[in-house]
Amino acid sequence: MTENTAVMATYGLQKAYGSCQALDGVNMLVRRGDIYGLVGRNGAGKTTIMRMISGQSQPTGGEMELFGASGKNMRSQRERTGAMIEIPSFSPFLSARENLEYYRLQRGIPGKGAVDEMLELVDLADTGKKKFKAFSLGMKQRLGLALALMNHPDFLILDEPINGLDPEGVAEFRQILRRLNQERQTTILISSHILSELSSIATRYGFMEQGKIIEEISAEALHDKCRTCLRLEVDDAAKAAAVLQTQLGTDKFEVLPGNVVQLYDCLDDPKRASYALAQNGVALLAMEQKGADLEAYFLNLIGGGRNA
Amino acid sequence: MLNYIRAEFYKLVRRKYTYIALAVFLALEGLLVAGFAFHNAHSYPSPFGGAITIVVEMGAVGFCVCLLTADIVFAGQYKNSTLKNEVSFGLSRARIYLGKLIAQTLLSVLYLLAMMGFFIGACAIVLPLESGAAFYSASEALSIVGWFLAAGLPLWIGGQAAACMCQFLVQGDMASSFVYVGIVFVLDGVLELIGLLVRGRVGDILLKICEYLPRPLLDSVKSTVGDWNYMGRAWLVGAFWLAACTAIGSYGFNRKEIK
Repeated sequence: MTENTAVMATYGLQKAYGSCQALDGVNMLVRRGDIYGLVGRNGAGKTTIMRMISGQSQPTGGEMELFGASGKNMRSQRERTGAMIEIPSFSPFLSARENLEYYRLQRGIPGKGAVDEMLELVDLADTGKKKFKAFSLGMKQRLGLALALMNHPDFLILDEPINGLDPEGVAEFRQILRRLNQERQTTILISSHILSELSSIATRYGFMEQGKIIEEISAEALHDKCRTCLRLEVDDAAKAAAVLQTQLGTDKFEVLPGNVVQLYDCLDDPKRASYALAQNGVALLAMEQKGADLEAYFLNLIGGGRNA
Repeated sequence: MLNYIRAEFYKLVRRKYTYIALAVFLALEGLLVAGFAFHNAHSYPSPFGGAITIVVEMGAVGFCVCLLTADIVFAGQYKNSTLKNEVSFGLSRARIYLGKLIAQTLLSVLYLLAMMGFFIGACAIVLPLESGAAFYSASEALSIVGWFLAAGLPLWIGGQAAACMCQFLVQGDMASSFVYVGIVFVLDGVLELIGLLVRGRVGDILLKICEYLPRPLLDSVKSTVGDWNYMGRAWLVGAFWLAACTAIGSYGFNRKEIK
């Protein structure tokens, strides 16, 4: 992948509300085909970024690009996007079908079938004349997703989309996103506080803290980093590496700075490793089993202890 | 733009508010006609010509309709947070603003046609067409009403622009209505009062400004039938208010954060 395939990029993006710096120099890159999971605490700036991409808010500094267009040219590119940011909002006095038809007409999307197709997709075809104001949160989320998908976008922006969905709805939602990504190469930017759900679909992550992207990482790299391993702290890492290779016959380890070796073998029998090291004159100062999921990784990244 | 206006009308025809508001106005007109009929049954009859010219005294109702149609079309978009659905799809803010302004203006023209048609029609059916020399004849009365409508139309469109500006710039239905009422119904009185108090050149200027505000200008329509200078002034003032309010409103809306 190169920068040429960037669907969305920000360069030193800033947003200030009075003295409050909501975004503080955000550099972010979403490539074509990514399912980009944006992870951060409440108030980290996730929604602010999404609102700026979708034109609801203007940056106070920095630049952003959408499909290679920047500044005022971004507006026309937004027709290629679908967005569901914060709580889905519709006219309360119209039904699901009427609301979608209103936006279909407004956006000039051809064919009345587009509305029925979307209602079927999100399982709202049976809501009849029920007004939006009488919808449950889950139904509102589904309708929001239907609107975001109605123009068959190349880039989908979803802010906390599974809030209020029942378990069945979450599973369906996950399937829809996967299908869109795989069959139509739809690029997706998604934020969620349900990190286990995010980790099951995202192919790339951006971790935010206090208005900054503190790390961008692919799902594969994150998987590697979160792999379960034995963390061995020794007096001589080079010698320990040689012992592991010769005595245990494994090369599944990494030597890290500070005389630390991460061993991805012998997980079911750590004594074997400690015995081999001791037998060959390597002092084992500490040993622990380590492994993390997305949530633990994120908490560790922001300093631990606080919830995402 | 056409798509936007079509969508607005799709929404309007599915909203009860659209019909209820019109029904209330028509009911009030019906009461007025019933009042004339009752009066005719018990006193010296008021003919058709005398009755329909009463609308000329009711130019202010047109400015109230502006407020109502703006509210119907805008449909609480800030309160319901629905503007984000339009902006995030890439619709330009100018298109959103002008689309709403055109839709509410078209709706108010439809209201005007329905209200005038109903009132004149009801008067024609219920009241005697000609009666005594003390009243306008039917043809004279129709030409006065026609003159009133021709002068009122641009001024009401100016009022529509002011109402639209308030809806877009002031969040909250109540607050935006207050600002509109302040501009259209209170401003002239305040300027006139200040003008009379300060006197001198500044006072003269303020009093002159009052003459160019839409509502006071329309109030003097009955005494200007056939005065084409007045008609020209009405259209110029209407065009000025339309341009000024649209420019201010769309500039402010462009800079607004959408939530």
